[in-house]
Formats: sequence, structure tokens, C-alpha cells
Amino acid sequence: MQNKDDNKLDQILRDKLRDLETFPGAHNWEMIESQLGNDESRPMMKYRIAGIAALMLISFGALGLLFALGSMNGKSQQLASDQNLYLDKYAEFIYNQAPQTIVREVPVVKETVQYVAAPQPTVSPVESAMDQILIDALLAQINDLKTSIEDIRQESAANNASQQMLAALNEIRNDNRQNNEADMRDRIIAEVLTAANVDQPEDLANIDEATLVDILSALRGKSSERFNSDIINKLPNTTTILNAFDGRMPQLQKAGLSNREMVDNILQQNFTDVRGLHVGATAAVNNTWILNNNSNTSNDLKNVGYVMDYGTHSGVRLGYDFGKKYGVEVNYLLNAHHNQKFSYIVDQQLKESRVSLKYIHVPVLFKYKWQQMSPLTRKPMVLNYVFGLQYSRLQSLNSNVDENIVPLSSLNHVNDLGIVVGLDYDMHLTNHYFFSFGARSTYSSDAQALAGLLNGGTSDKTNNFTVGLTGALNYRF
Amino acid sequence: MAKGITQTERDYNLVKRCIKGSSSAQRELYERFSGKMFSICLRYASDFHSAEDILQDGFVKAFKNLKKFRFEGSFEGWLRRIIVNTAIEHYRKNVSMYPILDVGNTEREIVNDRTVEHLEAEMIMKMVNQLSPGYRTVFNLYVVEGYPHKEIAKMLNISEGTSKSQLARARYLLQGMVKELSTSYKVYAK
Repeated sequence: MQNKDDNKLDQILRDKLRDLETFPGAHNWEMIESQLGNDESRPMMKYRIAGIAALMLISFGALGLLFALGSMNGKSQQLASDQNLYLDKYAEFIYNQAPQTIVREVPVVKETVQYVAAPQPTVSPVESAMDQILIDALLAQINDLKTSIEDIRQESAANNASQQMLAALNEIRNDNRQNNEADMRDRIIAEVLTAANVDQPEDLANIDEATLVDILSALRGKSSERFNSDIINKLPNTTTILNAFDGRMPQLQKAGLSNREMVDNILQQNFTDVRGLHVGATAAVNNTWILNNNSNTSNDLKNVGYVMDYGTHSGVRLGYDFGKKYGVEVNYLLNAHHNQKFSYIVDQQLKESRVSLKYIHVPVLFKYKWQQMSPLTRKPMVLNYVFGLQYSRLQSLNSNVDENIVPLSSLNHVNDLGIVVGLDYDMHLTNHYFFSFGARSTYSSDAQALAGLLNGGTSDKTNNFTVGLTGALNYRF
Repeated sequence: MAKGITQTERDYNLVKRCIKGSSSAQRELYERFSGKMFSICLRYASDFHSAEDILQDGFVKAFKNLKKFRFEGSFEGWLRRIIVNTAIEHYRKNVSMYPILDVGNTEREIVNDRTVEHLEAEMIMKMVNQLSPGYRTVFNLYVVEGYPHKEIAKMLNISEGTSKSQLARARYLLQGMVKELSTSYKVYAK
């Protein structure tokens, strides 16, 4: 009876329990799958392990190098004393857009720390306002960076310190780069406004020009090119400020200068306009070949040679530059001496004779210009390709050359016309003065003879071929 | 009339795919049987995490020995035996902690079968889990899995008498729990 009851109860319990379903958590399958080591997951695990190992190797390597460079830097005190190196590296650190490895950043940080601790007496006490602003901002950035690195070093666990540090440094570097530019812009603007004693950049337009020039000069100071150009070119408000500062900005734009050239022009205060009127005084030295078709016609003459002889001239010049590319110039050249020596054998004797011509030259020249800023003087340099026509009037004539070589009648032509080609190089010294030096080549002939030649006739007049070097001091209005 | 594919045939196909190395078939097989198998594990294990261990070990064994399945009879039955054996192995590892002793004659509680029939399976499960490991293991093997005492004795390395007495004691305790629950229910119903 008991067995029967037990069997019945067992059956009930069996039916109740046997097909009961209780679902396990999803992680159980993951555990089973990992224990099974499915073919799909096995290589993935290998790659993961290899990747993690490589990452750790690189990270610890970078960390080791980081500390190694840090300790090496302690032995290199002279690095800190080189302010230019510091500035170079920091300019690169801030403005180099290309991502750099952490290895390159570390020496910058360390050098900076040393610089802060022991500034060198070689630094000029007459730091310009711009330099001081930049240095202050850079030092602040450096100290922030150093603090951040120390924080990370302390907080990071040993096994992931290098990874965290690399990531954090990159983040800090990017932030610094962005913040630094914005900060620098604000500082410069604030400095300008403070110096001009106005509140808004627009108010600068009401300040007299002399004051503005003084402010700009103070800001310019001894700042090196990289700060004046690279940083200022990155400032979005530069154009606004410069427009307010200098009413000639539109003129410069009209003249075709690039943005950078305009910035350089105004900030350097060395060249306010590249177009307009200029006058100058010029002097030159030349060598002339007096060419005569009738020379050496006598049988008694042998071995006639042209011997180099020099002449000089001086005069004034008046020019007008239409813009960056084109200009015209007229010269009035007085006392233009052109001399030519001839050597020849006559009656079995070597004889040397000379022709001296004195002219007034009036060349009318067209100039095609190629302009850039000098990296040394930060002032414009202009290369002029010169070509034009020249009128020449003979003032005097002296010749002791044998009539069989150069007849006096062939030299006696009063009005000449010629063509001129040459190169001039203008170097601007101040806002208004610039020095020019160049080379000219002129080929001229008698005006009446040229008219006859054009009409199909012949000429027995001499032609003058002159090559010379010129120099001029000019004033631009 | 097209002959429909039976559940057994579907299970066989699934197993064949697993044997060919299909991980998706393995996952499918697991999802199909993990519910029932985990219930078995819970009945044998002393706690939830041990049940998970038994489940994981059991399935790993099953997958690794799928080629030994002869495609005779139910795959579920084959898998069930593996899971139960795995549970027994876990039990053996802890046998020193839960020695199975001969408890002698046990008084019989009178419990109405209808009362048991009306109990939810989950409730019965809870009662079983309240049994000590020795009672619970013998009860599961004998009542639910249907193993005879001779085989249970061999599996648990005990005597047949011990197995019987353990079962009797398990029944007694379970009936007591049912009776207590029934009384509580009546009091509560009033």
C-alpha cells in the first residue's frame, strides 16, 4: 500500500519536475563557447593577445624614452640658456599642425622648466611688448603642461600609465594649440587697445596716425619674423585691427599685395605704399663700343682693336609705379661720357687713339616688377625688368682716331635714338627712400640715319653700344 | 500527404550540423535544451552558481562528445544523462561535505496526492532544493530520472540500503513540507 502511494507521488513529482525549464543567464553560453574554443574565436583571441602585447610594448617603450630623455635633459643646461632654441622649439610645438610624437614634445617641456628656473642674463631687457606677451603665454602653457603630466604620473596605475599619459598629452597638446592661438589673439588685441587707450578695435580709426605708428612700433619691437608673421597670420581679427590702424590698407589691397605682405608692410612700418611717384638721383659707369662700318678700310691699317674704356654719367630720375607689377620711369642723364679706345698698327707702329663723346640721355622706360619681402630686412625688394626707348643729344665730340678708322663725320651725329634693356633692383631702406642698382644695355644710332634706313637708304654714321652699371637713391612720395 | 519532420529528426539534424563544426548550430542546440538542462542542474546543485558550473561543464562535454551520439533514441535523453552525470561528478567532489548516512526507518507522513498535484512545479523545486544534498541527489536520481537503487548506489558509491533510506527520508521531508504548506495555505485562506 505504501509502495503504491509512493509510486503515485513519485509520478506526480516526476511529471512536475522533469520538463520544468529554467533558463540560465546569457553569459553561460559565452563561457561554454570560450571553453569549446571555436575556430572562429581562436584566431581572434590570438590577435587580441598579440595586439595587447604590442600596445604594452610600445607604451612602455615610449614611457621609458620619456623618462630617459627627461634625465638626459638635466645634463644639458646649455639648452636652457639658448633662448632662440627655446623659442624655435616652442613655435614649432604650438604651430606645427602635423601631429608629433610624444618623444619630440618632452624635451620642450623639460627645457622650458629649466628656462623658468634660471632665466639667462643674455636675454635683452628691452623685450618688446609682443615678445613679452608671447613668452608669458608660452610659459603659462608650459607650466600647465608640466602640472598635467605630474598629475597623470601620480594618478596612473603602473600597467596603464604610459597609455593614459600619451592620450592625455595629446589631448593637452591639442587644447593648448587651440587655446594658445585664441589666447594670443586676445592678448594682442587687448594690448593694442590698452596702448591706444580705447575700448573697441573700431575706435582705433579715430586715433591719429603718429600715435598708431608708435603703438605698432612698440608691439613690433624686436620680435622675430616667425612671431610677427606666423602668429599674426593666424589671427582672424588681424585684418580688422590693421584696417583700423592703417587707412592705407585698402590701397595696399588695391595694389595687389597678399594678406601677408600687407601685414608685414604695416607692422614693419617700412613701406607704406608700393605705387605712386618717386624721384631719385642716379649715377652710372659704362663701357661703350663705337661701331663704325667704315673702319679699317685702309690697307695701311692692321689689327684694329677695341680697347675697353670707361665713361660715367649722372642724372635724375622720375618714376611712377602703377602698382605691384608695372611702372614707368624717365631719366635725365647729364654729362654722359662715352669713350672708346682703338689700337692699331700704322706705319709699323702700334698706335692707340681715343674717341670721347658727351651726351645727354633721356631714356623713357617701362618697368615690369617682381616684388617680395626681404627675409633679412623685412622690407620690400623689387626686381624691375626695364625696357624702353632713349633719346640722346650729343654735347661734345673729341677724337684723335685716324680718319681711316673712324672718320670724324661719322661720329658727328647730334640726335640719337636707341633702345634700352636692363634690370634694376630696388631695396627699400625706409618708408620713403629706396636704393636702386642695376645693369643697362643701350644700342643707339643717329636719328636721321635711322629714318634713312627705314626708308631703304644707307648710313655712314657710327652706332653706340653701351653696357653699364647704375645706382640710384630714390624718394617715394 | 507530405510526411512532416519530427522533433527528433530536427534534433538529429541539429546535432549533425554541430558535428560539422557549425557554431551557430551549437548555439541553437544550446538554446533549445538549456532551459530543461538548467532545471536539472538546479535540482542537483547546492546553489545557483554551482548549477551554472554544472550546466557549462555538461554542455562542453556534450559538444565534445557529439560524435559518440548514435542517433538512436532521443537526443534530449542523451544530453540529460550527460548533465546528470556531470551533476553527480560535482556532487562527488563535495561528498565529504555532505556524507550520505543511513537514516534508518522513517515515519510516513500522510499527504493527499491532490495537494501535491495542485502545487506549482517551481514550488516543488524549492522544496527539493531545501533537502540536504544526499537526500536531494537520491531523490532526483530515483524519482525524476528513474534510476534504480542499484545503479544509484553504484553512482554515488553507497549501498542500496543507504540509497533507499535516503529516498525514504527525502520523501518524508518533502511530504512534511507539502503538509506544512497546505496547512499554511488553509489558514491563509480562512
